Amino acid sequence: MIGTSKRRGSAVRGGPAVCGGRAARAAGAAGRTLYAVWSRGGGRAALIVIGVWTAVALVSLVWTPWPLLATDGYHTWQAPSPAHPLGTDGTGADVLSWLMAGAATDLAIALLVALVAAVWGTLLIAAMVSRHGALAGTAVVAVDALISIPTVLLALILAVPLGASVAVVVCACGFAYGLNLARIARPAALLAARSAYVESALANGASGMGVLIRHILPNSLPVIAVQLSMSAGTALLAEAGLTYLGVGVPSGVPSWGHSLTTSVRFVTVYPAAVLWPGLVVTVAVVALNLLGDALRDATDPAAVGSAPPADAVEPDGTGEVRDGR
Amino acid sequence: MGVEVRNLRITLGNAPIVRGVDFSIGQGGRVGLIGPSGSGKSMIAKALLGLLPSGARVAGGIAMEGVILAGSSADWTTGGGHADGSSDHPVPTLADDDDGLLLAPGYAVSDRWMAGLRGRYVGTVFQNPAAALNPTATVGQQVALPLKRHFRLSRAERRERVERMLAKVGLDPADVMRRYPGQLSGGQQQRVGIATALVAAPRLIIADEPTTALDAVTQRQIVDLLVSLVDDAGASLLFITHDFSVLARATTRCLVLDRGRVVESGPTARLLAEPREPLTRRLVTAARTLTLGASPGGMDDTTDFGGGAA
Amino acid sequence: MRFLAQRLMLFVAALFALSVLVFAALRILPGDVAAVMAGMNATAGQVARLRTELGLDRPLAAQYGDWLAALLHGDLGVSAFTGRSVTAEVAQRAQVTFPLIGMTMALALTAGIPLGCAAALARRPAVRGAFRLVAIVAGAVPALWSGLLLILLFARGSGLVGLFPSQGFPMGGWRQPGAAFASLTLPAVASGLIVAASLMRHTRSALGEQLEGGAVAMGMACGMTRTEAALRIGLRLATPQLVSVAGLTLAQMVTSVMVVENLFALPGIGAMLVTDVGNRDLIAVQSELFLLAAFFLLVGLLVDLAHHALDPRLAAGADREGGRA
Repeated sequence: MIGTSKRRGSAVRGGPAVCGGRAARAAGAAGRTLYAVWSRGGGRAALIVIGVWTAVALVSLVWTPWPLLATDGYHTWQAPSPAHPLGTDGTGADVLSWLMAGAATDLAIALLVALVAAVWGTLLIAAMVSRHGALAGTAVVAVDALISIPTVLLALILAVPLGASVAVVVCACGFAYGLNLARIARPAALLAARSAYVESALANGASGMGVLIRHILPNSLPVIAVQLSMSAGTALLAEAGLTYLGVGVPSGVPSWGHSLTTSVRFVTVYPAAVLWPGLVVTVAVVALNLLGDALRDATDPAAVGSAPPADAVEPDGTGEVRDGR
Repeated sequence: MGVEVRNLRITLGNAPIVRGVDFSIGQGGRVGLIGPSGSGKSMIAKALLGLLPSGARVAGGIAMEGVILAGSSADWTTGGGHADGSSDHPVPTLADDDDGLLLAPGYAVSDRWMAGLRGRYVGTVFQNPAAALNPTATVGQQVALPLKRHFRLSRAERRERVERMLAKVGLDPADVMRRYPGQLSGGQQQRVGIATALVAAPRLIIADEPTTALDAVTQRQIVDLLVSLVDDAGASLLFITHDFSVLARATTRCLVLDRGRVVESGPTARLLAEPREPLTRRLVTAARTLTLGASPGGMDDTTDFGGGAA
Repeated sequence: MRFLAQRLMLFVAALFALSVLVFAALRILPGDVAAVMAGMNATAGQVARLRTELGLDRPLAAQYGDWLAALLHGDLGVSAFTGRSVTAEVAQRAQVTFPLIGMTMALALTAGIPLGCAAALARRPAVRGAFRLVAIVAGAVPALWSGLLLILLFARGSGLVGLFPSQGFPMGGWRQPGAAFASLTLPAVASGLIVAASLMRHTRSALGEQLEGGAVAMGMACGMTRTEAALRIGLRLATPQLVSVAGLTLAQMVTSVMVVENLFALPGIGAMLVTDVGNRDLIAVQSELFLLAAFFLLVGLLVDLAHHALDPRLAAGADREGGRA
């Protein structure tokens, strides 16, 4: 039994911390994973982009080159200049300032969506691997059924009572991505839930909740982290789309989707204005996906110890729907 | 079919898997490769078949029937440890439809060229038939595949040859032809695997742990079946396993591999009777314990153990 | 069979739950619905009359019952704003939206799956890396942005190369098939890009998994080249997984489809929904949302059944354990 838990611990880095010093060990594991991500090309690029993004978001809370509401009817759709490095928009407001402030909103949205998806997904995973057969079966099929409802429909349903709001984006995306998370993490969680270690822990009187927190979740953590990272990226895309549709971030609140939307109306007249907001969203989403890929490589037991470019075991992705039933 | 392997080295990514292995199999010879998992034995089989995963590189020489598959002619003129000493191994030229793409770094031939070899001149029996057999093909379709790839036969001719082959491996053609692998037992699945490997009458059979996934009794039946069929056909056999008790029944000569190197080689009976290296001794002891446990009395006589020796 | 029964039951249950959710979401509007719908300048009498007209003064359970009964008879109600039958409106707009969804999916499949196969089959690390990057970047472009870029590049009249119309749908609809097709081309490309990227990644990972599996090796051992074995055996075995993925992707691409409908001024269901939500056209929104969500639930059901039928392990009904080492 000791052998089992030991093997699992080494197979899954940042895996189960069984007894004391859990926080310290988890921190150590997180640090190792972060380092492993950093030591890969894609991972390093991702961390740099996310670092810059976070820094800009924090700075924008206290300072932007121009006040957001500093409009100037005489200098609309200006080309980039020393005063306005990225030009001005249709109200004469500084594009760079709005993008910086948007970084904060979008960072918050990405984090909140990941959080909601994590909590909701974890609840679903717990139900799916439960020993209560009927509950588990229902959860599996329910996830299969609900996952086919488009995010945008959920957003529209929520938008009727709530109007355009960040909450709509967070709830709709969080709900949908939680379902995805549950579906993708289920095999790993099921493997852990049926392991000898869990069997014996349960036999020794451990509670189902305790086993879930101490063993099943830590062992599914790599899959969950990868999926959450990708979901955060998808949330940015959803924010842009929903904001354009008028049910996302309300007008007046800076966000990348908002900047993109403002540039739409005069696209044929001022095409250059389209460039920056779209580019910023794309770069951020690419970074989050690269982070997901690097996290997968870093936490994949098959790749541990082998040189990163060993392309032979290229773990990709998507790990979608590895047939659950 | 004669096989020569000289100073074969295989790397996967940056990790060396095989670090210089020499052996040859003569016409009708039966050679075993034995070693613990991770010793590189399966990789050697995959290298012979051109089935190495992407990211793998080979160095050194592989030749079949005198045709160089991997390595340059330099590999054959220098250091020649083999008696036949012929440095006139032809290097096959790439056909027009090869797109000039070599199989993998280190090979002299393309995948298409190797594909012409596989199934026709070299048959393969895999470790885990449940994973190897195409679950969407019926047994009839599966066994017919090598014939389809290499011969122009009428439907009836093909069917007849498949049925004859299935009967040879002890399956009832009428019963199994239309069934799917998922509906067969493990032993039956491996019989289908053997039928597929042998249906085109190849000159070399490579069996990669063909019995590992089976229970002890079935293991014995499958090994006996394989050996008798190979012998009847006069083909050569390369048998890969980690279990000496199986090897004793299947081969006359074998090589013991450890971490990519040959640590000991010789007639199977001799290795069993007087293993010199610690690893060989461990493997022999393990085989005895296993076999004794499985069938008491079957192991008391080591000469009987190597009884398959020709 | 048990799976089928369970899945069908869940489908009906999800449909029911959905109807309750949609109904509830539209009844917890802050403020008085009738007042909002009647407009700012309405008198108290007008509001009261509207309330009675819409049946909003009746108990919620009765309202819900009436709505459900009408739905079952195919009656989606009448728009409070235009006075048109919602059924007719949806039917007309479906002629734009469904072909658009179909074209998007067709484009995504014809681009994504071959590229995914090529990515899985590539041997050189540099080539594999390039495929990987292409998939990530293409999947990170917001549909809004790719739509704008396509307009700038290819829109007739305003683009660099005037190839396709970029605004509106021909008056004659599909009676002018050429024009209708042309007007949907850029929108389909814009929303198809993300879907293609996602399918490409999933194909690469599913096929990559098969390439390492025994069945492809067996095909090669029988005389196929790696490419032949991958495409004839590997792809077939990856199909169930890909069908599931395509189904999920379909649900996720609806956001993009709605965005491009608005961007390209196509009179589709998405544009209608956005308008109606903006107008708080209670009756119309309620039926439209339910109808669309039900459609996607149905697609999900069909995809699941197809997955089940295509998976040889599930179809053979002989799920022996120990199949894979």
